[in-house]
Amino acid sequence: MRLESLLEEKRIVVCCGSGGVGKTTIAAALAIRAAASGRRTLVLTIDPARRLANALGVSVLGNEVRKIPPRKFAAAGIPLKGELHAMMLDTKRTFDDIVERFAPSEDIRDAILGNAIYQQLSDTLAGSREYMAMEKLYELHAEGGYDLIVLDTPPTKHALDFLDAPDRIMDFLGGGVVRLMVKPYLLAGRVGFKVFRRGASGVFSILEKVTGMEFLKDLSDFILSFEGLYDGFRQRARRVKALLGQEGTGFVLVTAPERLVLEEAIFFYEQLVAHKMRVDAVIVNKVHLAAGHRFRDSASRRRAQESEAALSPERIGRLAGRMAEALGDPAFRSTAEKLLRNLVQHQVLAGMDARNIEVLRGPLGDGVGFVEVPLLPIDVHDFEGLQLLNDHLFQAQAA
Amino acid sequence: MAASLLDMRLLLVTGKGGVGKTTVCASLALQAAKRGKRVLLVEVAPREHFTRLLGAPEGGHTEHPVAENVWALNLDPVLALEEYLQTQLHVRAVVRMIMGNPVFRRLVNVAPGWRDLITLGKVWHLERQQDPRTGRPKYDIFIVDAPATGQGLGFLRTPQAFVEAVRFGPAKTHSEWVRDLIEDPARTRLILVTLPEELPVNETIEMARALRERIRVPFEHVVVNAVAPKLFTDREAKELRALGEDRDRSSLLASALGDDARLEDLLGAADAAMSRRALHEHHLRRLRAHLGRPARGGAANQAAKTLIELPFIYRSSLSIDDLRGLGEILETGGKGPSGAT
Repeated sequence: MRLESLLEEKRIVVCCGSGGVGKTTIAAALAIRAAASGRRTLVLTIDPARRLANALGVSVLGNEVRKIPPRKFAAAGIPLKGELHAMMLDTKRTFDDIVERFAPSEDIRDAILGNAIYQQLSDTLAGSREYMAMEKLYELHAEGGYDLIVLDTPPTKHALDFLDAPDRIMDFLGGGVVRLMVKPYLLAGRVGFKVFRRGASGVFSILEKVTGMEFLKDLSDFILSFEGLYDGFRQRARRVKALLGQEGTGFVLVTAPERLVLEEAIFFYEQLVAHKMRVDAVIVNKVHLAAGHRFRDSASRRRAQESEAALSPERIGRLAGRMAEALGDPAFRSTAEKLLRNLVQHQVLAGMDARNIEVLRGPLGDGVGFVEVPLLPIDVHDFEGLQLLNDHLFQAQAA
Repeated sequence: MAASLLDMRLLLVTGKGGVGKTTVCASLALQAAKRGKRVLLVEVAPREHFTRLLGAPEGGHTEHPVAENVWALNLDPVLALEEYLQTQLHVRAVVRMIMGNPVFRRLVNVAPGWRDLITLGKVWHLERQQDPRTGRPKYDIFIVDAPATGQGLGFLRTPQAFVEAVRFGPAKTHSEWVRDLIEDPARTRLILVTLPEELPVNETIEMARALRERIRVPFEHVVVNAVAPKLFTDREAKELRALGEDRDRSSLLASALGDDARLEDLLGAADAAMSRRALHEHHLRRLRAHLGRPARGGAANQAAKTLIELPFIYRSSLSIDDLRGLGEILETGGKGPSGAT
């Protein structure tokens, strides 16, 4: 699917991929493009490193939606027909908000928020970042009135970490696991701890031996106080999962041309497909292009490089000599050598990227949009940079 | 004066995803081995990057040789947990009963922090092991490829978090032992790896602040990876700019080149290299300004940081010799003859 259509037709676009490939920046650029073209757009990032805040020039995004001032668009010369909002997710605060919102009573709310286990768990529990992102996504999708939400995801090695987060966390909170584990303790709370301790056996008493009794007691208190919230959590988790599988949700896989990163992308892609999630487009970011950008696609670039046999050191020496002679300036020879060597190095990088990218293209299904973005000579951390990135994202496709 | 990295027992290498932590770990390992040390490289499964980088067969959750005097361990936290329970419970059948319990396995899937703790715990355990014949430590130095930042600081905070969460019992004591190892300035150093780019540098500055304020793991070194070398002198840069606008000289050069290369490609590539270098210099200056401040308290975490620059290497995959070269630079802090400064 072409990126233009994606931004026009979808209600949710999920940007996923491994760390360090520029996912957050791409998400911000796509959101800017969608907003410019008239959609009321929200970009939601869950990266704890505040990258989007940097990229959008909003120093603190907090855990609330901020509207990006239209003057930022004007200053960068981008006509704005829609609106852009941004939010950086704070896992702990989202969790706290949900507890406050859905706890059946104030006592229970305070018991949860004050529980030592909850305080340790709420932002470190495996999958809780991803899960809270899903909760927030659902809430904003249902209540925010946005035409499009662009979601930047935490860097996970496995697409599953992200997709299964609702299940995994429900496994934990929903009681299946923990309630079975701590059931004797829950009962002990009612019939008396000492009675229970005498009867404690099996896995439990062993775990107690290793972790210490208090830990399990705190855990059982936590589970008990969470009882009234399970059903709501489970319902929302189910709806979020359904939402991700809908026609209106698109996935964009972002990657970079290094071999290991691309292998992760292929793995990621296959996992998404196996889970019946549609990957609509793949973006390869930070690609070294051959000088002159003469060839748009990696296959023709690679062929071109193979035919232009690389300049050997001897030929570089001879050519540099000819260049210095032509200018009548012997001192130019060393500069010329550097020029030639540098070109060869660039071509080596471009050829290497092109070969890596071809490996990625193989497994991609028909109809998956594919865009290569060159390594830019600037840092993308402001609107001008994001606009330049968009020029490449959308122009590359047009060619 | 920063302590020499290779004199440590434990190096924890961390940084944002994609900055080259694995390269730095492997280079340090080769350099330590060159100094006669026995090295164990530790990464956390399911990665298996060291063996690939060093061209050795995959070894999984067992210590296996990957280069002369270098071993690698692709630590599987679940297996490490099993080993830990074995040391605590002694009876294999009991451990198997726990590990095989479906409820326990599902708990293990979601419970936070324990993977980090058990990873560090395993390193702690190995750090105490000796060669029974010689009485020497089994390994002289442990180099851990720690999870990417975001989670990276959490990794370092886990032992203390456990000490606080578990009020007593063996797990608390063991967490304290692990914490004491990673916070020991005589044995441990944390190394932050970054790239000379906007966002990685921002994150490194943030992490350094968090380390100063909240985490007591000794930290003195920041490694800036893949720095574009300064190719052209300022005079040459000026000359090349002038050349682009000088039609006569340009056409002389173009005819000298003939079909071998196009002048505009040469100048374009030179321009790209120079803007890249300028960009990298800018970010190196930012890092220096933030991390180069002199000591306030004198403790390791307060002191000015040593910035080590590793040059960008124009190759599709790094060779062992490339890694050895980087290892030299890492040991000398970039001040040696092969330094990239």
